[in-house]
Amino acid sequence: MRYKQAVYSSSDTVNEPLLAELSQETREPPELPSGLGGEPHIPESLSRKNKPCLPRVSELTVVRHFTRLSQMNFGVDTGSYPLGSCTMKYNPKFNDSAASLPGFAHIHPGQHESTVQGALHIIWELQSYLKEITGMEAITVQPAAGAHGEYTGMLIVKSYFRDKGELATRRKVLIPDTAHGSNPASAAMAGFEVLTVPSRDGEVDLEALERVADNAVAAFMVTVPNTLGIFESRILEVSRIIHRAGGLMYFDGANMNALMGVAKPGDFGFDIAHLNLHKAFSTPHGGGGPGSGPVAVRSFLEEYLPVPKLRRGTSGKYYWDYSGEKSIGRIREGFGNFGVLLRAYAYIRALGGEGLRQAARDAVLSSNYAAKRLREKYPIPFGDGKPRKHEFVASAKGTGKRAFDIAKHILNNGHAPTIYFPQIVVEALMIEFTETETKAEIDAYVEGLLDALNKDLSHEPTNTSVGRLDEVSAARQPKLNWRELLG
Amino acid sequence: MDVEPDEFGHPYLGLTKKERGEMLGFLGIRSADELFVDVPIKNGVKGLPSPASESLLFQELYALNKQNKNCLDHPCFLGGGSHLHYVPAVVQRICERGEFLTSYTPYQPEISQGMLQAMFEYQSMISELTGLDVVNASHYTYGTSLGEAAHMANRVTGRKKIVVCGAVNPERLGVLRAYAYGRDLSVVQTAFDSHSGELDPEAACNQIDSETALVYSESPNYFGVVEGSLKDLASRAHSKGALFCQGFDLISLAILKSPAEVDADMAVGDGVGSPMSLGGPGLGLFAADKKFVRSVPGRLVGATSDRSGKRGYVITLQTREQHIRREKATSNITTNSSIIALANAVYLALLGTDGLKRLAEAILSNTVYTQRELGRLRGVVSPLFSGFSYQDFVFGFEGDSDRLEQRLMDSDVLGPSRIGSGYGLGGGLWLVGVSELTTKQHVESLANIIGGVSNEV
Amino acid sequence: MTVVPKDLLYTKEHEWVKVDQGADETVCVVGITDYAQAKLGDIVVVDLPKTGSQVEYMKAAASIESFKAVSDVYAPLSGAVVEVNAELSADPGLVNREPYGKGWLFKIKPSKFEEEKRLLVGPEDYEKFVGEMK
Repeated sequence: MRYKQAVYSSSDTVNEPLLAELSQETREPPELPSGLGGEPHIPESLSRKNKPCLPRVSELTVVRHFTRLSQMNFGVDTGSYPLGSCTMKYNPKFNDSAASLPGFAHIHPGQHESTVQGALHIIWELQSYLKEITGMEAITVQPAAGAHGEYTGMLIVKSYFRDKGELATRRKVLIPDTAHGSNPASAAMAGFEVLTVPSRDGEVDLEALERVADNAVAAFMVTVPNTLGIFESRILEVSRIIHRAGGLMYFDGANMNALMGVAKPGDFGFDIAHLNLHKAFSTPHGGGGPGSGPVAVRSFLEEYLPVPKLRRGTSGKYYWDYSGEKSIGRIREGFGNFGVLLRAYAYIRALGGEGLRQAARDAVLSSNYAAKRLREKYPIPFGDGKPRKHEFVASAKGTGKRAFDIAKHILNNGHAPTIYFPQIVVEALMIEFTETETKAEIDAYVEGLLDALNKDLSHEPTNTSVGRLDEVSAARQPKLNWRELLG
Repeated sequence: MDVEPDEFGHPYLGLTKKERGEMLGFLGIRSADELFVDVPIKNGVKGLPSPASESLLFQELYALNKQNKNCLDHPCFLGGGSHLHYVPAVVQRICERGEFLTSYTPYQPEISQGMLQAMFEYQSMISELTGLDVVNASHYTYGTSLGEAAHMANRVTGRKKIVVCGAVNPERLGVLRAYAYGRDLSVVQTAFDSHSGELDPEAACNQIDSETALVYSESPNYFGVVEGSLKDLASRAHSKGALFCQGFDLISLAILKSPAEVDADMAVGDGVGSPMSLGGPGLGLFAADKKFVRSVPGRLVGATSDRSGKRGYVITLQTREQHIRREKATSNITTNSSIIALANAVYLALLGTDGLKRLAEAILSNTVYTQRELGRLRGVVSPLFSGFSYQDFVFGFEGDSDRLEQRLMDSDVLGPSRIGSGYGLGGGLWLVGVSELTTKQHVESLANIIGGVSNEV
Repeated sequence: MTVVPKDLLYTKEHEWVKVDQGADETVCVVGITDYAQAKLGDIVVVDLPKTGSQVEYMKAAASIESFKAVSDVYAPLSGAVVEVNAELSADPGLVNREPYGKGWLFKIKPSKFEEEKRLLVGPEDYEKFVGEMK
């Protein structure tokens, strides 16, 4: 299939204009309900002097503007999106429909529990599924994203050691050199120092780990399978080393799509695990969010979980329990991203345990198939001979092309790549199909990558609404709003 | 080794049995099991449900949805962290477009100009309303944005004290404390004036010193009272080398002083455009003065051009973010609330400046009306505070608040919320939230219930 | 073909040092090498130390950012920072265009010059070092 993205050009230099440029001098605002109390009076001292300038446009203008913008955008609904590390699978439309039912959409977090039992039941059930999937004993669904879950987990680690009187010594969090950037950032936000542990042949170097695992270590944060797509086969030994040193094991669940229904982090010695519902659990990425990052823990850490915690009384009624002085407190207002939780719940119900397991197996099969097809022309560094899981990382090194240019070719074909991550692979191209792609789609993508090696890529992309953009000027003289751009 | 037959088929799965076979053949293996040999323990997962058909699932979910009392079917007087607003139909239609909803973070800009431009427009409109130049492409919630503001102030000033002035939403305060805990920052809350409901400037000034990183106040505050002394507070903060952050309500910025007009360095608030959904997902707004641009958390979209001179948009100043700066990043945030930021942009575009102003005036008018009507009732002091209220307000109930609570629970009305006697004001304090959807009948229903309890001796 | 001027000294972290041995005091100018600027790509922002601050041998003293990467610049000598290049805030690209000239970063009055000078690398050795870096 050939790809040509829509382009709406209003001039040689502007595609779709900004609303500020479409704005008309005068336009009547829409009808709005008039206040019950008549015209209100605002004291002069509280009143806004400087009038804000929002666009004045007709409703059809708004509709066309954003519809055209959507056509100059790309999503899973448009074509396959095998970005490594993101699990861009099909987002079932049913989940969106369910979330907009009024009894789910128009409920206020301040309502008494007795008026929202249906919603609480969904949270309860989802919590039990996620505990099963992770093999953990307690869970919070408060975190709004994976990184938020990581921060939550790090605060739990902090409180745990504070109570043990070891916080003054345990200042370090270990992370492998393949870690996603959010891991060290989250550890630092919680006041820890970060120490990187090298990998050897695509897995954590156990000897190096052993050398640094001492009583200054609070936790080891690791993604399994790792960002190379390789399962940390000696994870049980890793857990033993860290636990022997008195530290905690933290599971970054970003790659859960390889394991769900097949294996549980709880069986590998993990004490805390977060999941990304907007990855393995199908909730839409929305161009950057929202997501949801539930955090599951072993029972000895339950008292540290955020409050309130969902409980079920003897009568079967659900209620929120605000007690627990060891809790790290609240990490957001309300109870969690309920709209996202509901979607994940519906997804798990639709596939069932059997379906989740099949999804993981298919994701892994597709990934290994594609890796073998590409291997001849694109080296797949580290762990030679080791199977990959749901994603793999190829390198453009030795192909005579830069990953940057190959990425532009992929864009030209109507897909989007992840490049230059993980950092231990030079000229990295990270690929993850997910189980929702057909074999034909996978073959087409692979052919596109092989094709790239024979072409002059310097002008690509040409099939997208704009060509290569000047990111240097954008960083040197940032123009972050239309006043700065239009003057 | 037992060979696991991969027999399960489902519309959400791309591979057919035949294709699985072809792939296995190409790999030269008998089963996908061989791809999991390096996993030491794989007992599968028990305790998960069997697959459910879409129609069955729909029926079940529909029934669960009916079990919840929703704010369209019932008069809603709940305020505080969430408010009921009408979201115009166009907003949802745009946000459910698959090109937006199912897209990823636009790290590859050429193929994502739609989302990037929409985020640029969102940033621009929030910038107009707050008066601050730098607006990030969203955070999770108002409270988490506040938490990030505290971290940012700590980074910029090197200091560790956060001074929270006046009545602030207790859930947000809780979130601030959780963020402060991470960086071992101290949080001090100063008093409000029990007569006006506004922050007590003297109490605030006493705490603002050379250790202070950030001074924070919300307007409207937790009681719904608009703070009149923010500019002085900002001035005091600045004189001590601290930063000042204002918490705001977005719609109210159409008529109330903007954070820039009170000399705020940063501002945090709640977005509009998505349904309440039991409190999430939401939209955290974060704005800051241009001079802090390299220190702000979150994604920033900037305008630039392509090689042919065509205007385009990119995520810029990425070196602040976690994927490059790692442990020195301005935040760990990766996934944010993008699609809700889009909803917010569409919402503001539909209303325009004048529409937003009319909406804010309607909300204000409903606040005044409801305060007055309740104030007519025996045993009700409404409004309790002399300060100017917007959207939320507090009334004091001299009757039996326990009984009132029970009556309200048994009735059709949702809210108001009892805010407890922990404010040193004694007796029954109730927080009422109104919106542009509040009707005369709603207010009458509420008044009847309260009046009923008052009249019971 | 990376440029390596003969009249400068170098570090293995790709900084260069120009020694200005004046009558009453020695001042050293510091910058990054051509190899470093090429590797970084177009420079977007340069974070310089404060004038008057102390820097320590081989500890991070400044940082340089391209649009997609950040690199620390290490102090080649211990001492006090006496001047920083004010032109770089408006024109960070100077570091790319003239890494040895107008793109200098900061000047140090060294405190342990005799001792630390020996640890610096000569131009031939630096050129060889860079050559082996492929």
